[in-house]
Amino acid sequence: MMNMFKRVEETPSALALTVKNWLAHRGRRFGHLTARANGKGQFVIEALALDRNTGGGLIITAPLTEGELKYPSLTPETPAAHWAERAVGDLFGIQATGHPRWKSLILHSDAWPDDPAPLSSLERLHKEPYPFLEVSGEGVHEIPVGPIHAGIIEPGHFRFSCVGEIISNLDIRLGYQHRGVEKRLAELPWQQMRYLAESAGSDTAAGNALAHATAMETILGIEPPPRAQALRTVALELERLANHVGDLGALSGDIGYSACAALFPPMRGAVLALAQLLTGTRRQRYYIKPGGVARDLDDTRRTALVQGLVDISRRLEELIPLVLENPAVIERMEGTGRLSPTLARDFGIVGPAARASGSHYDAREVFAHGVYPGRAPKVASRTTGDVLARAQIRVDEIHAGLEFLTELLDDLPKGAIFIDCDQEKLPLDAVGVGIVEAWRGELIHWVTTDRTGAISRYSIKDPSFNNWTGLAIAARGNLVADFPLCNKSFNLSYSGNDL
Amino acid sequence: MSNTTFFLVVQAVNILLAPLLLVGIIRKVKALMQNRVGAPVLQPFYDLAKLLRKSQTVSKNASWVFTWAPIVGLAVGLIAAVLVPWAGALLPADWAVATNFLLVIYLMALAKFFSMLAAIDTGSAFGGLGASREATISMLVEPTLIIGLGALALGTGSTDLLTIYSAPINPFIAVLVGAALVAAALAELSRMPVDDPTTHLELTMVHEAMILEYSGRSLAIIEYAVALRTCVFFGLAAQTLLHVWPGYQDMAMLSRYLVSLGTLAVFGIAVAVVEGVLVKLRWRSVPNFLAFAAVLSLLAALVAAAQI
Repeated sequence: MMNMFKRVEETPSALALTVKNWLAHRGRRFGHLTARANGKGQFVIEALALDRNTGGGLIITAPLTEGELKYPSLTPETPAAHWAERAVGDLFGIQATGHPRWKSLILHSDAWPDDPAPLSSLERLHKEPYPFLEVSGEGVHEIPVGPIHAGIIEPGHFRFSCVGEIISNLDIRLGYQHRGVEKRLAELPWQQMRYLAESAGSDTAAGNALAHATAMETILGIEPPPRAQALRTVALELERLANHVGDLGALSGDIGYSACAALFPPMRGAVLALAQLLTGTRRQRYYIKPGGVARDLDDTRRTALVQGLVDISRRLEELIPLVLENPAVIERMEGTGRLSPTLARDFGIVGPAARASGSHYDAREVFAHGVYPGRAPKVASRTTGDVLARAQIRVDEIHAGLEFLTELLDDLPKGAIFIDCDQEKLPLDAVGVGIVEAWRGELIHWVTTDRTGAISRYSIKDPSFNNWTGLAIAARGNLVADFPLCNKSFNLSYSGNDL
Repeated sequence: MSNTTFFLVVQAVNILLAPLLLVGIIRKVKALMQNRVGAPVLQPFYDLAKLLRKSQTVSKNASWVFTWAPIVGLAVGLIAAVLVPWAGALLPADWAVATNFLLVIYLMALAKFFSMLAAIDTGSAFGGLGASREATISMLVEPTLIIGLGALALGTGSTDLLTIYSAPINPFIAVLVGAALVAAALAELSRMPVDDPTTHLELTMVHEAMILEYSGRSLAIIEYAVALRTCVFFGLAAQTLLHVWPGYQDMAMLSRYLVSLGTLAVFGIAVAVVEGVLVKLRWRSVPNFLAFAAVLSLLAALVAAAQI
């Protein structure tokens, strides 16, 4: 089973309206937007629109006239496109006219010198400064945080405009982790791409590898064997389990609850040990590949995995109530960092963060990857949109994941674990879209080949790319001291965003 | 050598050892609570020695306040450690007038005033944030301290700490004031549930945000002054609570001294255990916590007033 995407062509001036009209139907959502060179000296703007009803969607291509590096912005009609358009501005130098907050996203002069950017999509770009949204009024003060932080986390700059202890606006400036992943992916022989593709976000190695494999298999027109699909799903779900468990510990740490901050990390370690049992590495590198998986699961290790899950499950039964049934914890989390369902929908928030704000979207129910959408577990959903809801969604998904993993491992299909496809050549003018529900949410690898069969564009949309805006919105009106808690409840990737 | 002189010498040595030992005990117990081995109990001493050997970085924007504030803090801490009978009433009786509780409280306030100035001095946003929070907490803690110790003073008819702690205290008042002082001390010393002393999250910090810019010798001085204040505040609370036990008054000086130090260690362990299981309060709920402490003090004052 594959995701079917229809390709249509549109003029740049009609792009915004076409996308808006197509998205007006129920169950459709904005996927991603990017640009690429079409091989005729022209740039095209491409929008990816997803249809939850059919498990496919539409790719709308708008070729720009030669020498014209601008097009009317989609953002006024489709707010979810706002960061994608700014990224295109940085990487291709193409401007979205009429964008309400037009400024740099990744290649700004604070993070990058004004030299050629060898890994950006253009040869030479002029780096613009990054102006922050200025808030004025009595008692308003700014708190700059980062890009270097006190904890061992990735770099990113947060500019808080505060009235006393209350955050009135948060501007998030990223880009410090840009390393040209997308451009490099388009240069490598396709058989080698998977090693780089899965490090687009190393805490989502299985998710990225699966999205990459799914996209490449669509292009190559191959269907991996059922056993491979089941094993990939085990890897993906172990990654979700490990990260959700780790997040519960991290949330505890941020409210000074040192007992739980100490108790959860070993549980995450236990899940990672199971991941090592399955794939050979704790972060599940080099395991999922186009055509299948790299290593089979023999019966001894399968039994050990199932037993490990039972132990973890039993231990978590004791630990989770320590967090979510503790009135002092609930007091801190309830009502903190609220993201309203309307704004979550408008800005295309994905994953647990979206499902905590009333969304029922889970790519596992919609798009083909692993054993999905045929065997998707029940979707967890909450409506309050606060830190507590995001924690509860994680707990719901931990329970569902443990159950689902046991079910999968008890009933593994027999047979081959991969189809050898390394000798295959990529077809001409083809497109493959891999959409995976990674632990942070919908992750898209969108691969296009040109008329010679070479990759003309490899675009990755990490779930964090949508959700950083969600964090900025959720922080508004909260206490400055509660921001780390809001931040942890989203737990977003910097490297996945900056690519 | 008279008994008093002997104890004064012991106390002088003790002022150098007990504070850092208390900090070490708290950290060790906290680590054990989290299934960690933790650093040795003597680690604060090693840290201090290390910091004293290091050079310090001072911001170009910093004025003399930045360099002098730690020294003021240390001086005040030492004076308080001598005046406050945190390990039992050891000073000669003719010193009593110097141990006026208002003097002690406002000496501490002076040190705090300088540390807040120093935090703003470098122009760092975190320093300002920490200083503003510290000011809020100080303002809320002050009534608890004044009214609580005032209640004890009502009972003995003297505002001198030495006189107060040499006389028996009504056990009911002692319990109320003791509990109020514990809560006030937790806030004053930036401990849980008001502030998490172990966090790395600058935006949530109070005390730590104020000293972010310090390094080397100045940081060593600050760390030691904080440890001194920890001893003084917990010591005050411990002495008050010890007076609930009628036998404490009649003990020989040596036994009283040892019991006091033991109680201080127990306090350290209790604080560590409590910090392990507590969740930090939301900043908005901090006034409620301190109001609770103030009410305890007020209640004690009413009881004391009714008994006159």
